[in-house]
Amino acid sequence: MNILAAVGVDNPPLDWHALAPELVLVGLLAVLLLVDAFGGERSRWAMPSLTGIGLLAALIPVATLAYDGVVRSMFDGAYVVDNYALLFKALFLIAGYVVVLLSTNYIAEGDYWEGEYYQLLVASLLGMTVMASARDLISVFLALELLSIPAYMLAAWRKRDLGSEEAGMKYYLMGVFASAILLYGMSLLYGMTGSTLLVDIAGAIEGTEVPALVALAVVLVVVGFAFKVSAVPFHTWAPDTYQGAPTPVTAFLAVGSKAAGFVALMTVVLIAFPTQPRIFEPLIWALAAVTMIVGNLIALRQTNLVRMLAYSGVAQAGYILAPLAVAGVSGASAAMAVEAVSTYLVIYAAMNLGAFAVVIAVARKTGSAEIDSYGGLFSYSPVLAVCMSVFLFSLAGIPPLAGWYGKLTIFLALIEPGTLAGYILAVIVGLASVIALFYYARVAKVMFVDPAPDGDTTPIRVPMSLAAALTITVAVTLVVGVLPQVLARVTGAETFLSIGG
Amino acid sequence: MLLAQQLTESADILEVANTGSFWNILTFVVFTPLVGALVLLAIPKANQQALKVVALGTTLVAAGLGVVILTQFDFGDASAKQLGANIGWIEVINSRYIVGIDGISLPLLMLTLLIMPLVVIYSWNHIPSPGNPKAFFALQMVLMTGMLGSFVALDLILFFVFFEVVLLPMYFLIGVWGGEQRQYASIKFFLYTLFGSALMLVAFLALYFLSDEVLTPSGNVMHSFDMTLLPALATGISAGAALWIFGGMFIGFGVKVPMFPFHTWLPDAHTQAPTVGSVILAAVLLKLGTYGFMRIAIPILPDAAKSWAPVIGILAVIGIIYGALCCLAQTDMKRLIAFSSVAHMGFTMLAISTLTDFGFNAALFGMVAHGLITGMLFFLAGSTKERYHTLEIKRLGGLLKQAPHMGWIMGLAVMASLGLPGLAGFWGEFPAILSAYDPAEGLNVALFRTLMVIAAVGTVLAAGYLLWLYQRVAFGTPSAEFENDPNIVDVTTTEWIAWTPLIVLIVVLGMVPGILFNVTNPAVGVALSAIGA
Amino acid sequence: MSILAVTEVLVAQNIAFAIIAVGVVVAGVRLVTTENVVHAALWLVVVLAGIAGLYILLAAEFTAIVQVLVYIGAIVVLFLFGIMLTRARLGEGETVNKKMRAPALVIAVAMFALMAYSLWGYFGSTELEVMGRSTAELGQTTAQVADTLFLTYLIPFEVVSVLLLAALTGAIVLARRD
Repeated sequence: MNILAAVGVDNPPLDWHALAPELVLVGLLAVLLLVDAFGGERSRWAMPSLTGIGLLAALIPVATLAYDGVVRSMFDGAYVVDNYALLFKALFLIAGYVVVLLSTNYIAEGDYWEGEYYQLLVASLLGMTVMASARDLISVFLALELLSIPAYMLAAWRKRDLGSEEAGMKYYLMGVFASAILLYGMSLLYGMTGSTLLVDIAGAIEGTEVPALVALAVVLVVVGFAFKVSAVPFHTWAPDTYQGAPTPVTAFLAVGSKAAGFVALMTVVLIAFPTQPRIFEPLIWALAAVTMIVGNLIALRQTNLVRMLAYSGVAQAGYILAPLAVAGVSGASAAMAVEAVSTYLVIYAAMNLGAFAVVIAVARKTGSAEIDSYGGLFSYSPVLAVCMSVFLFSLAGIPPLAGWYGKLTIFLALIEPGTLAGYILAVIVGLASVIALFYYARVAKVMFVDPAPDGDTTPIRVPMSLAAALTITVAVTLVVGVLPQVLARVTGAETFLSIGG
Repeated sequence: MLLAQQLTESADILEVANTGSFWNILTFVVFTPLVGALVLLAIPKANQQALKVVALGTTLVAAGLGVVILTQFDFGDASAKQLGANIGWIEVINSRYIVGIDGISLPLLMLTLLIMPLVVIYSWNHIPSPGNPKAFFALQMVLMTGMLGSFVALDLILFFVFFEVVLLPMYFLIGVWGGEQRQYASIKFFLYTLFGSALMLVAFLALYFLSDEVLTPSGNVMHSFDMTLLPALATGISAGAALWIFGGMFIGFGVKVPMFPFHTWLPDAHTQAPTVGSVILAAVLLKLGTYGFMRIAIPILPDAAKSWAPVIGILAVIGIIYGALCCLAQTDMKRLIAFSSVAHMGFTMLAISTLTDFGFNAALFGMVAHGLITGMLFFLAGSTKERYHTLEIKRLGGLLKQAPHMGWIMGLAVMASLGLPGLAGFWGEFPAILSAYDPAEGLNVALFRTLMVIAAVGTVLAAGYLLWLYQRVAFGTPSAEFENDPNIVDVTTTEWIAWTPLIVLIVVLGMVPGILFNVTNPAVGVALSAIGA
Repeated sequence: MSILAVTEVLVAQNIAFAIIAVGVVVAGVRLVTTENVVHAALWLVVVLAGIAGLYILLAAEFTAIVQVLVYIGAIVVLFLFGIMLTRARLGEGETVNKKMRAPALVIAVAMFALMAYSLWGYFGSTELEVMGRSTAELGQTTAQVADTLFLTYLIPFEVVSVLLLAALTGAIVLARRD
């Protein structure tokens, strides 16, 4: 007889299939911990392989759940596994796998703590996969902390480097500050509604008269997430952190953490605040507009490629925010906003990870991420130069590279409601893209036209794992660009985001 | 996205059916160059001969498919979209893979298929610095796919994709193989075009959401990007919105044409681009803009077009005069030809702005003629540069003495460009001016007749600067510095092969313009059916 | 439970709340104004203890005990250890920057005003039920906490355990000398 039943407690209603991806990750974490503890030096080389295999194994239940196609909801709708959650779980796991590929040689050759590195990476990924399913305040908040705290430490992983310590410290301080703001907003929401479930909150704060407290809570929550997704004026940590952190970690932050922040923002805004468009729409509109303009303008002046990618990432965050600024107009506009943000996040992950893969590969030879050090890349490593161009012009949104379809969905979402605010923001996105092209094209120019700065034109040897990462990201960038339907059939489905409950 | 059953009461909804298959002749012709580009990438860099052969072979295969298209195209029914397909592509937004050609797109498609092999042949011994024929040809092949795709696409998003695909290869062609200021020129080209196309895309999407819905083959009721259906679907758009949408497209296409005042990228791009880049730019790329007006903007939003027509007409005429005056001030041969492009495209736009089928026919003829003639002139400029290592007009002279055949060919091209009757240029220019005499119903006749007079002055100026150019370059005696230069030889074999088709066509179209007008005329009528001209 | 009438309980509660609140605020102000790190840590104890007292007033005895155990028992002690082990100067610190005090004060007052206005505007003088609990259940809050923790919030609870593990691993790596 079950001992819990004996004392009169019901078993929690667990759906093991729905939790399988997370359970695999927890298992992976335990395996890594044990192998690292008892395997000694001999086991170091196995760490990245184990992590990679584990992440791919976690994709299996994601696939079976997707094949199953049933929306699974647990704990009164606090934890939902629908296509939306599955898409992002898959995104996080694959992005994590690519980050492992990027890290393999970088971490092994760079005198880092290797076992712990992968453990923290897996812990952070676990937070992200939980985030994809979280539909109540406590799950959202704790998932956010689980994905952030290991990331703070990973940013400082290059222990003897002052820049890396600064990176970790800045990221940590700004991160906890944002968490505090977020948590205050959440506590107000709970105080007003007596529930942590997003759906219940939406029902409780409904009404045409908006009390000041509701507005305050919504603003605090949105601002808290704005830090996480590095929206202007809450972006100041991003460039220093990106530049100082080990490059694979930067790639992880720029793609994984940011995407998870957007997932959380989108889930909370669209499920808990859909009745409050008058508060969140102008706020997000202004954030989006300022973010893309400022991000792009500062990116223009960068001479370091990683810093440039950081600011370009800030600008991209502006594009991703934009659809949410008109999401409250109608149910259709909310659906289109979800589609646009989800599509863009997937595409953004592929192209940005790819760009960082090239940065890592080139740094193996030049030891630098200064844009000038890319001179002559086309003459001695044409494949890398072409890959980099693919990613940069995809970021710029040039067809037939995937970025164009991301931009297109954003334009669609902005124009669909037919509001003036939407049109103006669409034009701003258009103009910002033109500015952005300037700095992306400048890198291309350096790679293709300028001579190698030190005259050293020995080809770059790209290790297997980096080559695999490049192959994956280039393939996604091209396939989604030419046949957007492969992604659109998931994100465009009407039943994509189910609100739970 | 409502299901069909919910909308049974609205019986007049348009139904879209899947027709044709992806594997049709137009798909083959569009993607053959792309396959060629992939093959090029697989060939080792060192094997230059193989690279050239593959590039030429690819363009010839595409041109061969073009001949097949000519045999299959039903000229008796040139107003219909033919040989195409209409199948699903991005189903969630009902953007479809719709391709097809009619009398408007056929001449431009053929122009592209003709120019590209010539460009490759010309490049045979003329790979510009810094070499690397592999990338050079691969980019040209991708460019070709983009251009061909733009002319056969009948879905706005598909068109947009091809329209943008053209950008990158051209950027690299100018930026890597161009002249001294190539970086400035290439980025300027890129930014102007991207700026235009961003607004164009916003306009397309606004059009999409504001137009009526159709019933898709999968049973959904959705908006449509289908260019052939949109003229009917867009009738419900309010006049104000239509004006804005047309404005967005106007900037997008106007930059590409380029119209005054969006033209400033063109002289830089032309001057700095390698010869074949200039030829492609002049012969085909500029036509994407005018084609966009004739295929998309005007047929879909005829009423807005009427409101915009005076603006287009006035800007076109400003372009004619401004281009001509700039030509008179140029000291560089290539730059002069570039500004003459601005003027010539002005004639085309003036013809388009009349919104009459007479004007549209003239515009199409003008586009083809300009493609052939200006393409020829840029080839000549490239070869001149090759021989003299300069294009400064005041240092040149005596071409007829040193390279008589080349001198005569230049004479022919110059005469054709200034609109000498009997050569192709005449049929682009003269009817364009004439069309402004009698613009479409509802347009200000007095204004257009004034424009006509000013445009006529433009032809005089054109004669002035072109003859001045020819006189300085071809007549007289060679200057001392080039007198005994062994570099200066007459037309070479590859040049003969590359140029002969252009020369023949310039003469043939000049003598028998009907072969082109007969194709364009029926299609033009359909494009303008909503104007009532 | 019915030794005192409800109103009498409320009066006593209000008085106790006022006393504790004033104490917490004073201790909080001293915490940020003192320039001695050890003193600051000790003032923190007062603040945390006061908050534990507030929890007891709200009949949340489990939270109160956790507050005392974790915050006062563990965290402040860790603070003190940290201060001593890092060889930081005990006593007067001379590098504290006071230039931004005025703007900080303005912002703090503005934030306080905003929050007070919003909170007052929303709740006003409405009496809140203690989350729908009957008197009989008041004594069983610990059991309720356990139930919600292991039923409703099972996943967040497990997430926290992984989080602690990760934090531990990372902290060891970052802190150790190598």
